[in-house]
Amino acid sequence: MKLTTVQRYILPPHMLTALAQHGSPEQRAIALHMLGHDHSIRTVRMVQGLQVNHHHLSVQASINAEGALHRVIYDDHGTMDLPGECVRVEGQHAIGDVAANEAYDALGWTHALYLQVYGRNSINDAGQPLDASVHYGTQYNNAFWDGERMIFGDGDNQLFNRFTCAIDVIGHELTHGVTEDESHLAYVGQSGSLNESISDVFGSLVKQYSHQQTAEQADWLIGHGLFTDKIQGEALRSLKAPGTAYDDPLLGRDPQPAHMDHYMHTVEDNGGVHINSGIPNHVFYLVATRIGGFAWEKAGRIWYETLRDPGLRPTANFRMFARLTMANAERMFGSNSRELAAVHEAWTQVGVQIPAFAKEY
Amino acid sequence: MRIQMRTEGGFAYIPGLSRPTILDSATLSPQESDEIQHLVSAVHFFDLPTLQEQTVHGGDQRTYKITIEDGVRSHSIQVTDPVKDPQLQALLTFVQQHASM
Ligand SMILES: [Zn+2]
Repeated sequence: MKLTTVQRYILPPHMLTALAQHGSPEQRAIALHMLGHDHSIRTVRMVQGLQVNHHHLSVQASINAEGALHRVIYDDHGTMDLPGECVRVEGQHAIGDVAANEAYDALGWTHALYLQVYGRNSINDAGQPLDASVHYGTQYNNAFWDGERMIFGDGDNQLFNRFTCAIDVIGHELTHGVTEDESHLAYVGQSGSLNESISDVFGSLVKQYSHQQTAEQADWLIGHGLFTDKIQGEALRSLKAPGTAYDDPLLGRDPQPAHMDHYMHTVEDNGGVHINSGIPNHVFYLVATRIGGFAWEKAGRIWYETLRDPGLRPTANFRMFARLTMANAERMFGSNSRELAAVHEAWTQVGVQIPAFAKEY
Repeated sequence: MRIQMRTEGGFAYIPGLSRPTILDSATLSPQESDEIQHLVSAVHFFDLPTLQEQTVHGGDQRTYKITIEDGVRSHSIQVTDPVKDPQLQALLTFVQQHASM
């Protein structure tokens, strides 16, 4: 397709998406811009030395209206009435509310990572609008995905700040939607811990992508800035060093294990889904740092393909998931690749034995 | 009346914060004590099913386990965010604001 075609016609989102993935560098830059990724276009320009033709800016709004990237931010004004008042929609300028703007921007980055790196158009890969509600409840210390939207509390300002303050929190919640769309990993026990881990992994990748950080440069923290300065802790979780994110007189110590020897058997938290996620989280960190470079390119691709693998069942445990990451690494990079070796070594290091044959599960 | 509540799960799940909190109406002011009695009867707490209806979708929702003892009666329920019944939410909010570890 020639550039002039892009200039003259308003393309449907799926064509823009295809161009963004497979077009020439120029076509990619323009398609991405038309898809509404303002900030990421700067990245593309930076990396590839491209100049963007400003004639294309004028068609951006009409393209967005077709739903390629369509963010809608609602304000609950301290109530629990969902969705709340609509305060900012796609293409509108920033408003006078920090939380609403943080949600808007971070949803943009999350959408950008999924589209530009993995060719996925939103939660359902069909341009689903990204709805978020901020200022949910009063002193509400949580963020969640309810199956339709992302919901963020303001925190109590004693322990927690507002939950939109860390970009990876928003990437984490949106990824729950992606996981639900692809695999229905049951939210309990090991499958639930995998579900949680996938959200932490892609949440961290969104942050790394937005900062253009390599695996070595990234902090691998989840929820950095979420604790108030009264709390002794730098974040909620750490993929690099599970169990070290906080150690505080009131909160206690980060309970995440980094090895199967310390897997926590508990009935709380659906069987410790936010605790035992530390094990697969650490595996991803090990794989990404062994491979090196930008973690979203190879390690992230292996994890994304595993998430989409029809063999990933709702009741998958760590061993089954590990086997699938191996199979996908082998398929993409070859049986003698260092990528496959990195995946195998990482699972072994955390004490997860990988079944040799698929029939074992 | 004695209310025990335990909050579990959530994106920011921290086991150290999920210890049960207790609210004893005897420690409340007469006005607050009236208010909690009213909230409990308005929601027909002792007739609520043990497991409240909840969606199978989503992630990071918090779950609340509430037990109320009142004279010879005792009943426990479990409910997950977002709480659909506004009267149950009002009860939850009151307990959160007045209970102590
Ligand atoms: Zn989660």
